[in-house]
Amino acid sequence: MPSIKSTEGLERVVFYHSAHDKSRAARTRVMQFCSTLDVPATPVELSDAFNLLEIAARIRQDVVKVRQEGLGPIRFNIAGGTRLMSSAALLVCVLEGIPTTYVHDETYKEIQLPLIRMNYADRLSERQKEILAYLVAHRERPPSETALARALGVHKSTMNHHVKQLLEKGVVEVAPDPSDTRAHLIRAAPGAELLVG
Amino acid sequence: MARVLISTFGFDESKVLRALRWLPYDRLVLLAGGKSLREPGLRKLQAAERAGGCTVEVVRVDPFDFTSCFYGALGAIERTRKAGHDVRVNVSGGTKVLADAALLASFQAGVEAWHCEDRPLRLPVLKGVTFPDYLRPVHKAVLASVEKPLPATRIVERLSADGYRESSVQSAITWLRGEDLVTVEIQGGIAIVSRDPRTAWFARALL
Repeated sequence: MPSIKSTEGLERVVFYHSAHDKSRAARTRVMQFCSTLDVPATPVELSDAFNLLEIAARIRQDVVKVRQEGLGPIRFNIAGGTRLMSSAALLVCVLEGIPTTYVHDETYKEIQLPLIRMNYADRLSERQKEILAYLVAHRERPPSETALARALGVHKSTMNHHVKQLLEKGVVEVAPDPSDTRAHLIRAAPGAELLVG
Repeated sequence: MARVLISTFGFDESKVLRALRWLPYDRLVLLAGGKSLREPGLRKLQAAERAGGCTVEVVRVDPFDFTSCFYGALGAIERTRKAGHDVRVNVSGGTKVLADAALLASFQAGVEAWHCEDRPLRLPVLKGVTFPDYLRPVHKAVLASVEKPLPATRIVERLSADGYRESSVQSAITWLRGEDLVTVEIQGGIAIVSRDPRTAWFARALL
């Protein structure tokens, strides 16, 4: 609520909460508070408030939608909710370059975490993003490096160079191919969806 | 090169123990503070590490103060890296503030970050990619020059003497203002540039 009060020109509030009874009770209070300020509010109940990546994916999807609709600018208060909800929100804020606020538990003082308004994934080259997007889309059936090169129309040695760089950055993993002991499969690391989704 | 695991820690040692089981390490650094320093969980962890011939370094932070946690985490990461070690950060223990601050520090420094609950989960921090990479030298030079508030004209003068073009310095000030890293106030007809007081701690860490 301190962030709702302190945000100038606030047009809309979207807030995330767990399915816990206490959280639902707090939802009612936030809705009432927003109603007194005449600010429309949308509560989003998270079915699993302890699945970090799932929460981050949901928040990111909403952020992308708001941006596509031309609404904004966005400001995020990450202080509430479970630990994982808070970490998931911070992840999205870093990846999407969203100004982020923290509210002190006891003093209710707001702290700004001025994340640079960058697209974090821009530190990957276009080709690296393309490779990662392909691996995310084929997460269930990860390709070998050769198959990956063929699928994206890239020479094998070029693909090897990109895969090495993605490995160094920690966004892909290499796993042995269960059907061929000499071969390896390339897989997107967990959470890579958040970089290229 | 030693593998150093930096982990947030609260009261529950099992959260750190899970990370120790999954993430290979040679040395353990705990970010902890407040009452957790006097709790049995920390003693149990220290005893377990001693039994394995290792020591535990404890970096004290105020677990409810974001700035303290952020600097504690960033300081531990930078010290460890400077010593030539490989660093990983586990953010599954401690308060929400401590975990978030350690995660932000991992992003800023470009080091692996993990969350270990029922399974180890590597978070999408690009290893080797740091926040300062997003700043151009002229941005850093402007940030460094406004440790104390300065008229924009003085900044331009100073940085021109260092070889920066006037237009580059001016556009850097505009960009940093847009990013909330500096504020520009008109006082007596003069534009005074200062590090945003709300974010001065963060801006300092970017240099």
